[in-house]
Amino acid sequence: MTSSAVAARERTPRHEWWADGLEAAVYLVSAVGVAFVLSGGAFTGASGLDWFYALGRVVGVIATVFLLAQVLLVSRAPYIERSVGHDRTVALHTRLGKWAIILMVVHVFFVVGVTTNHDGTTFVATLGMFFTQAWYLAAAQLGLLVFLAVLASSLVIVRRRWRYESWHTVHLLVYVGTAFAVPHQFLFGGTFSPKGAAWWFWLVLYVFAFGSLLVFRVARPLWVAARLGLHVASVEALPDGSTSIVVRGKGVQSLGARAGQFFLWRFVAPGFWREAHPFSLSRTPDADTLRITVKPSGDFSSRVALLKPGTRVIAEGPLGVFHGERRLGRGLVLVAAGIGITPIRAMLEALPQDDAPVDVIVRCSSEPDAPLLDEVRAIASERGARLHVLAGARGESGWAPAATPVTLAQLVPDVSRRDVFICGPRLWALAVAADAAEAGVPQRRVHREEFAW
Amino acid sequence: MKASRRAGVVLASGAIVAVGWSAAPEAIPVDPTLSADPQAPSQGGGAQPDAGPSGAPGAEQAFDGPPVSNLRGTYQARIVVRDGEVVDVQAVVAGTSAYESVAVNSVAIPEFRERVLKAQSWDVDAVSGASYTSPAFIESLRGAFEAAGLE
Repeated sequence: MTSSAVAARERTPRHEWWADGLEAAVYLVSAVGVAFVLSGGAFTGASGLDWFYALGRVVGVIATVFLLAQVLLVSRAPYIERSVGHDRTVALHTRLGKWAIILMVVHVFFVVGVTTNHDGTTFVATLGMFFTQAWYLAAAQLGLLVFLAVLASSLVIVRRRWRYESWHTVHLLVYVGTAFAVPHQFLFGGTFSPKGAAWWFWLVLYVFAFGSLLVFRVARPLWVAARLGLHVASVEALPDGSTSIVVRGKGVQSLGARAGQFFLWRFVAPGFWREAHPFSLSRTPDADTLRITVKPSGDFSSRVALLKPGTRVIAEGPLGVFHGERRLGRGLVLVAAGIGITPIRAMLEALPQDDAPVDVIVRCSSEPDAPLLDEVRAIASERGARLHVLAGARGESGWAPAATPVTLAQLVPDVSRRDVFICGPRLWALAVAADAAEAGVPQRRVHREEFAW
Repeated sequence: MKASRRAGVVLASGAIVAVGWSAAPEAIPVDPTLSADPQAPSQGGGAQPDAGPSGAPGAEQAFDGPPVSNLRGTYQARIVVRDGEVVDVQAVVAGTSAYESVAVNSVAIPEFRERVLKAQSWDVDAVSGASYTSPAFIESLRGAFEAAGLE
């Protein structure tokens, strides 16, 4: 029997149930919404074009459920965050988000089209009627324009040319678009305007999604920051150009952060407070401190070295499912590149002191360029973990240096029986994951997380 | 998602939608007395149901208002006048054939009929729950009253 066959027979980890359950819930809740449209009589006695009108309403309901699922995903509520993981979240977001907007367009096309036909006017004239007859439909129409702008800004070709901050700002407009679209659902559509079960169902969806967003993205981070008195305790420049920042807060350990996780950090200082950025913990949290290590790669990360001790900090988290407790077996291979070394270093430190085999692979252009390499080296030797440092320029393909194109299987002969944790730039991490799959590591034992949305 | 789970989700969603479908109300048959025959008199004073001369004592005459369209369909009122008195109010067209439209208008149009007959005026209160029917039907009623020379 091959080792992958053994691994494949292991039971499905709990978090996969959760992640699938979340996606399933989106579809089932959509189905309930559609059922309310039907039970309200949208299709009853419908003839000819009325069918398209009713279909347009069904599509609008699905679009809204997909949209609210997005809001729930970005709320980073613990019941989402602990189960789904960022790569899965991103995939779900991209897929459902795009469909939400496409379905909105279909909704408007069908409903306005049939109305136009009934009234014997033109499509544009009907859209114009919104502004004189129903402010909530006029608002919804403006909301759709906002959503189309968001969709356009997220197209690959546009996104590649824009600064992340510009794209993100446009993306935040979805809240404006949603606010514009809500009134017509409760005031015009026949399904959710009468105050009955459907009305309550629809209200609860909104309250749950936006409630989660407000509680977990706004209220809780502010409360935690105030209660623990989170502030910058020290700022240390590292020889490779990175900066380590220690954030102190009384009893910060009570947040339950695990080595490998990250927070979204907001520093309350001029020039910083507008932006929150994800940085992984670069050492195991202790009673009162958290440490992050930031490599200058953009405008914000280059400036963090200027932060003054005492600066107030607002942190959203702990976030992410990249931590040691996700492993399914005992043996580990930790693979890091660039600043991706931070969670790997923290995880290595937090591992239980047992005889489980651990290999650490650090990929860098040159050893002096690798942040925290001295710390990793010290912890690895203490723990008895094997450290492989692969320095050198990258090749045309593959994740190893061009000069020494090794594979995971060559470095760690029994890799197929281990859990592989990968952290580094996206394309590089994908290459490592592909190599792991090649070496026979089952997909669920390859752990990788993406930070950016 | 695994294929087996996906199938489960599809089945469950289908079952939920089926429950909604089976809970849908029966179609309301459009009340034949509600809508007048649109082929009959088109504009007030034009064709007349009775052969008698306009305004002849005891003669009934029908007057149609203009069709008024809004987002919920088209509405056209008809009043029947005898000896300067409105004796009947009908809808030539009211909304669409969709269930919710028929449901609203099957209540709203008879309500308007009662109010107009009582007030002998087009200027009646809107019917609650018929926020699209009301302004359109009242506008058409006004046209019908003007055509009948009753304003």
